[in-house]
Amino acid sequence: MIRFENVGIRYGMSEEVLRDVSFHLEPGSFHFLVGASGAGKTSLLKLMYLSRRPSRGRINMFGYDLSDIPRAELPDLRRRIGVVFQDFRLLEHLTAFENVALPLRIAGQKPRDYREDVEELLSWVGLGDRLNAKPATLSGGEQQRVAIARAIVAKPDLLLADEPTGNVDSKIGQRLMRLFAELNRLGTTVVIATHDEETVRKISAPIMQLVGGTLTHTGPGMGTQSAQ
Amino acid sequence: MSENSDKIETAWSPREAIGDLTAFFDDRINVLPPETGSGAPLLMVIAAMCYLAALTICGVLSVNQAVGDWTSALEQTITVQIDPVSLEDGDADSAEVRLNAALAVLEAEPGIKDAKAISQEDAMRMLEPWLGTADLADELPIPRLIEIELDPSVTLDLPGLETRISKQIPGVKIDDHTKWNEQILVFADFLETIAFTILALIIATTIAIIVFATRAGLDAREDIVEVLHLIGARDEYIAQEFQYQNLKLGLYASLIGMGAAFATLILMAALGGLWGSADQAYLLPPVDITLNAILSLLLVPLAAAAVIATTTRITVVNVLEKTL
Repeated sequence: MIRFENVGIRYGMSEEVLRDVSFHLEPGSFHFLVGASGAGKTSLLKLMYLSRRPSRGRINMFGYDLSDIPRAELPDLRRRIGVVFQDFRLLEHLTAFENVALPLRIAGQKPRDYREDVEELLSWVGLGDRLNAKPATLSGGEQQRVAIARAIVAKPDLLLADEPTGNVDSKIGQRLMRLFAELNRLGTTVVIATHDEETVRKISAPIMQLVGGTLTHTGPGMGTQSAQ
Repeated sequence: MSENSDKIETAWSPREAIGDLTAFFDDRINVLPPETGSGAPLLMVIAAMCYLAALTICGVLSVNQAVGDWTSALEQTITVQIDPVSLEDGDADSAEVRLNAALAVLEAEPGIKDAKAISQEDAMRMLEPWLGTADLADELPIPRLIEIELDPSVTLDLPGLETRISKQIPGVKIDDHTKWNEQILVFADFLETIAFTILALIIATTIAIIVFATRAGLDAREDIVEVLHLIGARDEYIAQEFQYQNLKLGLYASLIGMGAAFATLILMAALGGLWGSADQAYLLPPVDITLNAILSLLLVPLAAAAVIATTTRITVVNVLEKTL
């Protein structure tokens, strides 16, 4: 589903942030992406959610070589990817409901077709009573849950989450991890970037470890419970 | 009857129709936040452009109407001029005799609908704006004039008529106003060219302003545009959002511009009427708020909408094409 071959990325003329990154993610797999701050987790995710092109190497996603794919076809690929940004990136002038509904709206669905689903999803993440709240009136944890709901509302083939439990208490965090696991069980490939060791320990899923921009380890994790 | 009514009620319910319409507007999510910084100045500039465009169009219409009136009036009449002093005998009194003789010939001509001699008093009155009210009729060699209304269904051979009449009556000239007509038409063409140049400049300026404002809007909303891209929005979708926002602003602006233009026209028409009634509006073209003028003015918001929508779309798509 996703294949990186000797991928490197640099910003401007600086040193490479990622070097010779190679890995392959099977469809329906669940991975943790771990590493210290500055190790390159966010840069790797940016490459995966098609925000950046690599400086070198080849990336193949959903069977498409990204170096060959015309720009006009990128939106179709992006619609297959759900992203939880570390800084949420909610649209401040829209309500929680509108933020979550946005991917469906952009895909051309009508409100009457998605209203129930969006409301149900927001209820599931504990925000059923905050449908019309603007992000500025939500706490950090609530905003994070809206961001997660937006990422999964279109049932993506690939879910990328950058520190998705960083701003929520452990109870909500566990609930969100169960949500990711459920999504993964239904066939979504999940990659979660985190430095929350407890979360990684609890769930038995392969780990990709980045150290100084290099992928040093890909393999089974040490979790106590299966992701699926 | 009641059964039929029920059937109609089932087929089309006004309440449902209104509900659908409301839903259409309710359904809309303004993906872009409202303009804050550049909105008011942009509104003012577009309103000013629409105002100038509307006045330019009205100017063209007004001049065209005036030219049409003048030329059609001139084309349907000719003036016969009889020299006050005969070239042959120098007898000033013969002018009256020759006037009557010319009238007799002209009245018998088939293409002439009406021939009317203009009295010396009327001729003096026409010269009053230039010569004042002093009685100069005896001192100045003022020609005698015959005003002729042509029959539009008959083509008159004016050079032939002039030759024939000159042979019988000396000192007679026919003025068919061609020179005046040509000058008026050349001047009208010149004014029209200027007006179209002004309109072209207004459109070019509006395009430049919209390009500038759209680029500024894209810069100001870079984060939002990136998020929209990353969740799968196509360039056209984002362009549509900018189009919607700019069109809404453009519509308000053009209504303001149109309102101001109408107010100006009403004021000009009122002033024209005021001066016209006092016989002082010699140089003012008529300002009539005709249906034609109103329809032409209504084209301004439509043209503004087309310019704004097209420019915004092209600008957004061009800028976004350079991103991933």
